[in-house]
Parts: sequence; structure tokens; C-alpha cells
Amino acid sequence: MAKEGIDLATVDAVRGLEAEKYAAGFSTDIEQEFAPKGLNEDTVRFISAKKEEPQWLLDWRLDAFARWKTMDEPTWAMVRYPAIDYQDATYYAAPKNAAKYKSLDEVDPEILETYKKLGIPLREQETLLGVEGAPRVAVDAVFDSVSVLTTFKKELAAVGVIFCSISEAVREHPELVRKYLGTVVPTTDNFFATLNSAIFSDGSFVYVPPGVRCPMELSTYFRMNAQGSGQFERTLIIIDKGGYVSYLEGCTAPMRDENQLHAAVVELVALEDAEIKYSTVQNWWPGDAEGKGGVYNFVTKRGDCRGDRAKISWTQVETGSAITWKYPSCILRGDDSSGEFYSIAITNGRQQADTGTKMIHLGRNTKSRIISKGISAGRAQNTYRGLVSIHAKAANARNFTQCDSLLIGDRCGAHTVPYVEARNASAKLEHEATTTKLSEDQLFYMRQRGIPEEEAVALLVNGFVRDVLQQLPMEFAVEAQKLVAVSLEGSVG
Amino acid sequence: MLSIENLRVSVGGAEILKGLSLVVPAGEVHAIMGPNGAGKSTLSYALTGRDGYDVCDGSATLDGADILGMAPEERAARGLFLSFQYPLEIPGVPTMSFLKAALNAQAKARGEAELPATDILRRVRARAETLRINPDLLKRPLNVGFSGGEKKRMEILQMMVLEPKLAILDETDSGLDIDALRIVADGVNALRGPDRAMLVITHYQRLLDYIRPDKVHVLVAGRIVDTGGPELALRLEKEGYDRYLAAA
Amino acid sequence: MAGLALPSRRVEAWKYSDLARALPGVSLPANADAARVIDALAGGVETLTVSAGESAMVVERFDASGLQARALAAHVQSGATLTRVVVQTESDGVPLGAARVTLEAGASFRQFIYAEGARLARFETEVTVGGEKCRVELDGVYLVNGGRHADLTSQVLHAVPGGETRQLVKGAVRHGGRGVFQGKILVAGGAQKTDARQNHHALLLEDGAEVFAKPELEIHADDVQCAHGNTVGGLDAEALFYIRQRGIPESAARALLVEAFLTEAVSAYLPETLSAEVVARIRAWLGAAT
Ligand SMILES: Nc1ncnc2c1ncn2[C@@H]1O[C@H](COP(=O)(O)OP(=O)(O)O)[C@@H](O)[C@H]1O
Ligand SMILES: [Mg+2]
Repeated sequence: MAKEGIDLATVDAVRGLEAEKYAAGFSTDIEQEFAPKGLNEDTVRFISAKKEEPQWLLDWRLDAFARWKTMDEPTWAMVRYPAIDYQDATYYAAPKNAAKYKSLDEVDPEILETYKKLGIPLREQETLLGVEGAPRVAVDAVFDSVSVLTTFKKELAAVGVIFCSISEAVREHPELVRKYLGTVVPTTDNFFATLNSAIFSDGSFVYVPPGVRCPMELSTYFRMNAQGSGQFERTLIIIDKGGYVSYLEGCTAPMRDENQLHAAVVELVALEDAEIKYSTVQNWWPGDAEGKGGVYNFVTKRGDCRGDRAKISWTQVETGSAITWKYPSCILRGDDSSGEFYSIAITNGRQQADTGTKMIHLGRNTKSRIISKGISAGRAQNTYRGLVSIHAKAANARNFTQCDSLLIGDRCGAHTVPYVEARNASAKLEHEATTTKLSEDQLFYMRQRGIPEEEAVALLVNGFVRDVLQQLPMEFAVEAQKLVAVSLEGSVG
Repeated sequence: MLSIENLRVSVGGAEILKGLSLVVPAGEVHAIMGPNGAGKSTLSYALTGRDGYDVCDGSATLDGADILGMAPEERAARGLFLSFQYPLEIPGVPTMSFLKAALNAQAKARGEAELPATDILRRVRARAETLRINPDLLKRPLNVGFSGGEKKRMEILQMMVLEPKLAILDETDSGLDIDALRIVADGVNALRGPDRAMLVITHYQRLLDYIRPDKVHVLVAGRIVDTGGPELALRLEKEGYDRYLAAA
Repeated sequence: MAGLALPSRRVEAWKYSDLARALPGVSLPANADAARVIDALAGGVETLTVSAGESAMVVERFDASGLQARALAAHVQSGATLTRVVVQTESDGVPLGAARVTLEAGASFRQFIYAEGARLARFETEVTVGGEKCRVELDGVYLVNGGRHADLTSQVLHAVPGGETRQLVKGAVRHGGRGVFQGKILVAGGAQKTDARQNHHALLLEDGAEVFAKPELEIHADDVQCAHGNTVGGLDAEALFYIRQRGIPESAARALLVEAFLTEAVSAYLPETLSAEVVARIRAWLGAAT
């Protein structure tokens, strides 16, 4: 499909608005196995025991937990929410018959039904079902904390790519996990990352050996399900010298009353000449019209370009969650390494998003590029917060940052808080930011051509975010474009 | 086709159209000429339903239907097209996608079947060729960074693709060189037919050499003050609007 | 009675200017307002009212050694204009200036700050656009040698519709020097048609020079035009080459480029004598280095 197809898909998406809006708002009934409510050392031990972890990992978790108890929840972000009672949540929930499937036929049909309702694209479903000729996208589905199915393992194994749940990686590849876990986001990093280190339930693990281009896009669908159980994913991706991977992460969450805490950690390691493309479409439940019941999303994502000429690219489409606190970052350690951050953050209703990136230039000739598109509608608050830091040794470092905000309606807010720290005279940093409203003139022009208002808004907004959409893999881009339209429904008129 | 009676329109509290009446029968092309600020664009916008153009009195019907209460897109679906004096730039929306969206939306509003995407593509490409529009432009966001002449040609392309019943051309000839003018006129003439009508707003007789109008109206200070055949345009070119301004 | 500690790096507003380190042993009265440290150190706030329709100008010079703190609260009545000029020349002191300015309808505030830095120099400006059709111009130039520190911090609050802000700050820093720019534009809900442009551009003349910038937009109204631009980097190598190709030696070529870069921010509203003084100081600073 040509890129043009994306724009057409918007139009279809707008037609499907009514049907789609609450597509993610249902709850699947599956027997759960819960950790006892509350958070203490025993919780940590319970989770570790449940996953039959080695002693070193339990100690690692306990260290993190001890540290966490001394930390304060950060307050610098532009998000307001009632205090979280960390003792009033469950920290582990797993489908009882987890990890026992040999083939998809054995998967609880209700799980498959869930994927269907979530609108996982047909092609993706075919892939999931192993239909011949289907696109080769491997899906590691995390269903409430425990991976229940992983496909294409064999084909990946043939080229030496490891793609599995992190629990499995701990068992099967402990040397890799031990070597890299916590080296990009240390257990002491920040309140939420430290919490995650103590109690992470599951997540994905990827290893691509030297010189290997991962033969397919790797994709993970996250989905929260159990009442009152937070989700603490831990993802670790290591691309060895000269390797390449494109990783897709997408999520939706069911409608619910209680706030759901989500504190994921993603660590990326790119060695010499390695490249990682990490794409996210985030559509957690944003809460009702009053903002009640939405997901709190406190995520720490960081990539380390550890070798020369390594490249890490983050692309995110953030449309969900009541609270988003997220700064996918790049440490540009290797000489000539580069980092990219492309972001669309849409907030509507009472949503609050404080998101951006950090580009830490340590090596020579390092490059970074930041394109952020924030859209705020309803009574939402949308903040871009970023840091570009050029260290003294980062000769010839380059950064370009463009932050555009679009306001729809006069009760929302759009904020831009870029930090720039430069310590090298041969570096060049450029930052531009604009804030505009949806143009009445453009809307009228489009309506004069016969395009209804809502559709015109969707087209204009998709135009506004186009630079970023184009960074997404094609299937994802089409989905993301739909999301953009759906997220802004009812914001005009 | 189009019938306007005693139309009064105010903009920002000031009355700009002061009881304007005009009838354009099917199959005819009418020209409107008039000095700057007379209200020509105001008429275009009032007919197409732009916000801020308050109709205080009078009526306008298209094929008998009162259009003044309709949403802009509804009027468009009924066959009303405006070639904007100042075409807008639509960042991020490729021209081709925009046209597809418009065609499909109009078809849907009229309860017609949508055209297959390949047909649309073919239709747009063919029309673009007759207007000598570089096909690469169709992939670029609509009008963004286009030259003045390209933008005007893009307006005519849209008209030819959407095939409206009544097209209003608001100074489409301004800013066009002679060759472009002829191309645009050819496009307009190609669209002429017994069940279409056109309202051509212009300052220049030149365009009317290529698009022979059935009637020429003079719009001064919010009213039609004179109507005649093509020869009226020739006279205006020589004499200007002094005689009407003195009277107004 | 135990006093209030001076802010250190851990305080967001002083993140890049560690006052506690620059003034060891100094503390504030226990009842001091932590958000108005300079007021407290100044031991009082001078007040100034510019009457409706009038024009006034204040020139503040900072050249002492040791702590030199001054705080000004100005109110500019409708249609009046206040011009404030700060000239801070290199010293081993700790010059601190605070200005809080409120504007009534149709008032203008124009400010130009020239700062060469000191052990720690900081100039805080806080403007509240409280009436319609106000205009704010906040300009500045900082030139910082090794061991020196200059901090230009500002906030413009557009509380009502239709205000206009133009801000242009330029800086040049040498090895061991630190330049800080923190500029916030805050558009309150309902302050429609606000038109605010903020620009900060800094040159790092040598390795080991540091520039920290935090240009910030906080927008709570939709029908506004707000933009900021921020660039930090070395001299444009191509431009330098071009000039040298014409036969001008490198050091002179550099001085030429830097001077052109900096003088763009020397505002037109400065009285002749002051702008001549500032340009002369820029030249002297450039000449002294190369
Ligand atoms: N938004 C507006 N607010 C107030 N006056 C307007 C506005 N738009 C147009 N006008 C005035 O209406 C009059 C007619 O304008 P217009 O219809 O554009 O004239 P023209 O015949 O040149 O196309 C002019 O005097 C113009 O200044
Ligand atoms: Mg006009």
C-alpha cells in the first residue's frame, strides 16, 4: 500500500467512529491467580517465587524494593491526580493455565475473542493463526502479566533471534539477562522504574545476534485485564553488532472504574552498528468523561547506543491513559550514533500527558532528531518535556527539535518545556516550537468541498501529525491513523 | 439554477451586501465585475456558508432549495463549488487524498455509491493532464508551497473533478500568466453544459475573451447596479466604475 | 533563629545557578518567601509607578564585588511605557536583580539586559500583562568569560487577551563560562489573541563553555500565536571560511561574526548613548579574547 493509503484510511476510520469508540471497553472473564493485595517484601518474594526465579534476581528485586521505600513520587510533571495508595492494589495476576499452550488451538477461546474485539487487524490475526502467506509479524501477547503465546519462534530461532517472555529468558538465557538487565535503566533510576524493578511481572525479551537483520517485525500486544491489578512490564531488547530489529508495541485497556497503575520499563541496548526501531501505539483506557477510572501510565523507556554508529529510533502514538508520564530516551554513547524520537500525543476529555524525550550526547558526531506533535482537546493538558544534553566530549553533535502543539477548543492546555544543556563548542542544536489552533479557514475550505466537519478535523489532524505517522511501519500507521480520528471524536462542533 | 433575492449580509457587524438580487439560469455563465471591496467575495462566502457572514435578510436557492440554512458541506454536495480567491494550504493532506475524501463524502451525502479508488485516480490524473498540472503535485500536501498560479490551477482541477452544478470562480484569473489563463479557461469551458451554471468574478475583460459570459453584472457597494451582455465588460475595462460610484 | 537556606541546584528555578554555592554562609530570614530570594537578599523592594500615558526609563548598573542585590516592583499604568536597562560588567561579585512589572491596558514594557557575568549573576524578570493591548519586549545579551556565570530568567504572564511579547536574547560564552537562559511564556485561559515570540540563541566560542537553556511555553488558550526558537552551537564554519577566503584573518573573522550575531539583540529602543556603550563593550569583550 502506498503512503497515500493512510490518508484514505482516515476517512474510513471516521465512518467507523461510533462502533469503534468503546471497542476497548469490555472486560474478559478469565480465572486469575492473584498476589495478595498490598506491597511489601513478601509481595516481591511471592512474585519471584511464582516465576521460579533464581536467587540473584530475587536479590536484585529486593534491593530495588528497599531503595524504592526511600524514594518519593516525582511531582515535577504537569499532571495532577489523587494520591496513589500503593498498598491498595494487587501486584500479580496470571491466567491460571498460563504458558501451557503448545498451539493456538489450545488457547482459551475467550482470549482469542478478546483479541478479536480489540480489532487486532485481520492480517495480524492470520499471522497469529499461522495462515499461509500472512505477513510475518511475530506476536508475543502479554495477557495480564504472563506471556501466553509466542509465535514464529522457530523461524526466529533459525537465524538466532531470541524473542520470548522475560521470565523465559531468565530461565533459558540467564547470562544475557544478567549481563544487560538494569544496565540502561538502573534499579535506582526513578521512583516508578525502581518500583517496576521490584515487582515487574513479565514482559518481552529480544536478542538479535551479530550481523542479523531480524526477518520480521516483532510485535507485542499488551492488555490489562484483572480488576485492580497494576501492570508492570519489563522489556529488554539487545541488538548485537550490526543487527537490526523493528519492534512494535500496542495496547488497549478495558473500561473500568478503578484507576489502574501501569509502570513499565523498557531497556534497549544497541551495540556497534546495530539499529533498533521501536514503535508504540498506546491506547489505554483514558477514563470517562469526568476523567474517572483511566489508566495511570508511568513509563521509563530508554535506549543505549552503546557502540559506534548504533541507531535507536522511538516512534510513539499516545492517545490513551488518564495520565501519561513517559520520556523514551536515547543515550548516544558510541561515536557517530544517532537517536530519534517521533511522537504524537493526543489528549482529549480530562486526559493529562507529560511526555517527551531525553537525548544524551556523549560520543563524537552523535546526532539526534526530535519531532513532537501534541494535540489537546476538551479539557486536557498536554506537555512536551524534553532534554537535549551535549556533553563536553560530544564534538560535532547535532540536534534538531521541532515541537508543534495544536489546540482544539479553549479549555485545554498545551505546554512545551525543552531543556537544552550544551558543553561543546562544535555542537549545533536547534529547537523550534509552535502553538496553533485548528484553523477555521481550513475547516471551511474543506467543508466547501463537501467534507463533513468531523472528517475534515480528522483529515487536518492527520495532516498535522503526518511526519510522525510516516515513521511507523505500514500496518501500524493505518491503525494509528484510525486512533487519531477516534480519539478526537466530539472535540469540535 | 441559482436565484438570489434581496440578499443582505453583514460581516463583523457591517452590512456589506445590501439587498442583492441575481438569477443565473441553468446552462448560463454570468460574470460579476466590480471595484475592490464591493462585496464580491462576501457574496461567494455567504452563498457557500462561511462562518461570520451573517445573512440578515433575503434568500438564495439552488434548484429551488433554500441553501442559506445548510452546512457548507451540504451545499457542496448539492453541487455548489467555490474556487477561492485565496486558496488555503492544507498541510499534511496530499491533494489526491483530499480529492478522494471530498468525492466520497459528496457521493455519500447524495446517497450515491462511492467511486472505486482506481477510477478516482484515473479521473484526477486525466483532468490534471488537461490543466497541465505536474502529477507530482498531486502527491504533495494540498497547496502547501505551491505558487499562486499552481494554487489557482488546483482550484480548477478540483472543480473539474467534483463536477459541480454551480461553480463560483472568485478572481481565479488574478495572478495567472496568459498561458495559464487559457488553460484555466479551457477547463471551465469544458465543464459548461446545459445543466450547469457558473458565476465568474473577475476584474479583467481578458478572461471573458476566453469564457464568453451570457451576462455581465456590475456589483458596487453591495448591490447589482447594472447588467448587460459581454459588451458591458468591454466598456467597464475602458471607463472603470466611476459612473456607478458617483451614483452610489 | 535559624535562617532559610539559599536555593541550590536541587531547586528547579535555580537548577543551573547554584546560589547556595556562590554565597556560602549566607541565609535568608526564616520568614522569607522562597520564590523571591532576590527580594529578601536586597532587603527591600523599590517601587515605581509610571502614570498613565507617561514614559519612564530606569538604568541599573551592577559592577560591585560581593553581593549586590536589587529588587524593583513597577506598575505601568494604561498607555504608559517603562524602559529598563541593566548593565552588568564582569566582576567577582554576585549581582542579583529582580524586576516585577505589571501592565495596565495599552502599556508597554521594554527591557534590555547586558550581562558579562560574575561569580554568579542572575537577573529575574517577571511581567504580568494585566490589560489588553500591551506590548512586552524582553531583550538581552550575555557575554561570559571563563569562571563567570550569567543567568537571564524571565516569565511573562498573559492574563488577558490581545497582548504581544517579543523576546530576543543572545549569548556568547568562552571556556569555563556558563550562560543560562530560562524564559517562560504563560498564557492564561481566556487570554485569546496573545501573540508571543521568544528567541534565544547562544554561541559556544570554545570547548568547555556551557549554555543551559529552558525556553518554556505554557498555553491555556487556543486562539493564540505562540512560538519559540532556541539554538545553541559554535560559529558557522562556512560563514567563517567565506570571510577568511576574502582575506580576513581568522580571529578578526570570528570577531566580525560574533559581533554581528550579538548586536542583533541590541534593541532599537535603547537611547543612543546606551546602545553605543553596549556595542563598545561587546567589541572590547571580543577584542580582549582573540
Ligand atoms: N471579516 C471582516 N470584517 C469586517 N469587514 C470585512 C471582513 N471581511 C471583509 N470585510 C469588508 O467587506 C467589504 C467587502 O469585501 P469583499 O467581499 O472581500 O470585497 P471584494 O468585492 O473585493 O471581493 C470590504 O470593505 C471589506 O473590507
Ligand atoms: Mg474578493
